[in-house]
Amino acid sequence: MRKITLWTLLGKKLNGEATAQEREKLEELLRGDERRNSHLIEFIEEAWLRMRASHRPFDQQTLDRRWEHLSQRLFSEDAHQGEPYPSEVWRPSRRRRRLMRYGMAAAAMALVAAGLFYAQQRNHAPAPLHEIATRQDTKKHLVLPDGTEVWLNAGSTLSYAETFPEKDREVRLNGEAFFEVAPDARVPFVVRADRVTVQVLGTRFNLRDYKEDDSLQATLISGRVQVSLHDPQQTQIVLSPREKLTILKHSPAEAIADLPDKVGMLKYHLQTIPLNPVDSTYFAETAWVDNKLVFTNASFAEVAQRMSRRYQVHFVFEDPALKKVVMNGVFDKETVDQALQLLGMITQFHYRRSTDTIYLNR
Amino acid sequence: MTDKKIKALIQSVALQDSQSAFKTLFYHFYPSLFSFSNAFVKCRESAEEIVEDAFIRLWDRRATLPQIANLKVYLWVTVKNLSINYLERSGKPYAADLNQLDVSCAALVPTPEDLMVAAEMAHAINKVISELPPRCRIVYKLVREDGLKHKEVASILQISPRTVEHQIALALRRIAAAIRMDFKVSDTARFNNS
Repeated sequence: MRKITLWTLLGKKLNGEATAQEREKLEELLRGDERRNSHLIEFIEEAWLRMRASHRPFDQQTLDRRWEHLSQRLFSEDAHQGEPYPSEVWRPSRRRRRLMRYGMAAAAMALVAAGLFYAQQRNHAPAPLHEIATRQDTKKHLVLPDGTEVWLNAGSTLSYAETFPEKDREVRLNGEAFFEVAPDARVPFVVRADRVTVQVLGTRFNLRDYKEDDSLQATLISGRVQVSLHDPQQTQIVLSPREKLTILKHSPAEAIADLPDKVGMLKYHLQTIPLNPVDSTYFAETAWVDNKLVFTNASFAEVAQRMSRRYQVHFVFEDPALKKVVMNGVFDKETVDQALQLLGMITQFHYRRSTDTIYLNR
Repeated sequence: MTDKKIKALIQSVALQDSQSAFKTLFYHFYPSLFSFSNAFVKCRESAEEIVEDAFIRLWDRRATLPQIANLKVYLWVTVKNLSINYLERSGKPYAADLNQLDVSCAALVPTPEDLMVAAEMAHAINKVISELPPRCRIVYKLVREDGLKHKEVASILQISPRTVEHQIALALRRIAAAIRMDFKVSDTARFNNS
């Protein structure tokens, strides 16, 4: 058998790679070796943790210069002549870089050219967009140029101007996304949807605004956001962590009674989201990020709406009373049939399936 | 940067040709890769060129990046190979032999607020490191200065993880021996039973 020495164990521990057993074994060796080594080992650990390699740290300017040099080689127009870039998205920046490369000698000419360029760009308004879309059955995790992480749910589109994040940090959302916004006090992060605009300063929140849904939901997990409704009064609502704002798009008659606030045509209400009774680490509103479907006190109608998105199926309630049954649950890797069987344990119903349509009946 | 974030940036580079994600990776890895290459070639300009070439390869192959299991290992291997090629071109025929490689390590310095590690101690440790056998020194450097895991170092140098563990153990043993001698002279009061 291989003999594991004290030094091997120490090496692993210092690099954060020792298992619990190995750390224990090291302790044991040291206890039996008290006289010779334990102070010494302690000292080496201290030294290892506290001493730093004296690399001359790279200052920002040097790095910037290196990057400029590399990006000239990679992205300038003549370096990649004829290489098909994915779209017209890059063109203005390449043009601008080329203008910059004319340098001081041709400064006057460049100025004229730049004038032309900006005149041209004004004609081409709006500014070019990066657009990321997900199909009905996929999700995407992306990192925006400012470091903000976005989980884009199925059937959603996120777009932002090419100037992001230099000019502003504004994105447009259709559908649903969870944002982990990189903090930057100077430039607020703004998410624009059809009916609301959400302004944040470094936070985690979810915005759901699918065209086919009856309501829009903004849920804040941590931080602080301000939601501005696109109504005549431009109502502003500040959300605190674990608060969910629901805006009804069509205000069904039975719902109006529970909603004290009337804001133009947009009816909204604010609630603190409950901890999920099945698993308190998941909020129903953001569980989709982890591929889970979590619902808390949700009507069968809502559950069906969300299941149809996840499983690519269509639900038909043959018994409308079923729609109002309230349920809690978490689906993780279940197939649609397994999920329906689980729901069958909550409430009595029958279903039959023909390809993509599921008929629900008592 | 977390591995998860690196993965996400790679996705953006590979699927959307994202220049800004590529830039983030460049800013993150350039300093360590530069000092790694410079430790071999001992010439700043050449090391700069080598690391830039490594990033150009990375961009050119961006479409295949999601298949790479570990970007760190990929980058370090690329820079290692380019550095060795450079040395061979400039007349050092055994450059690829780890036992012949002369890699310099950055001197360790105590953090300023730290009174625990005396300057003489740092000096003693640095002397030990500079006198380690070449293979041991490069393993030590990758672990200590570049923060790589033992497994990653093993794939970069194409040796077994066990060899990496042995080399680190050797470095620690030598450091301990040097410190022990140092204690006897300078700090017998505190370490009188060593």
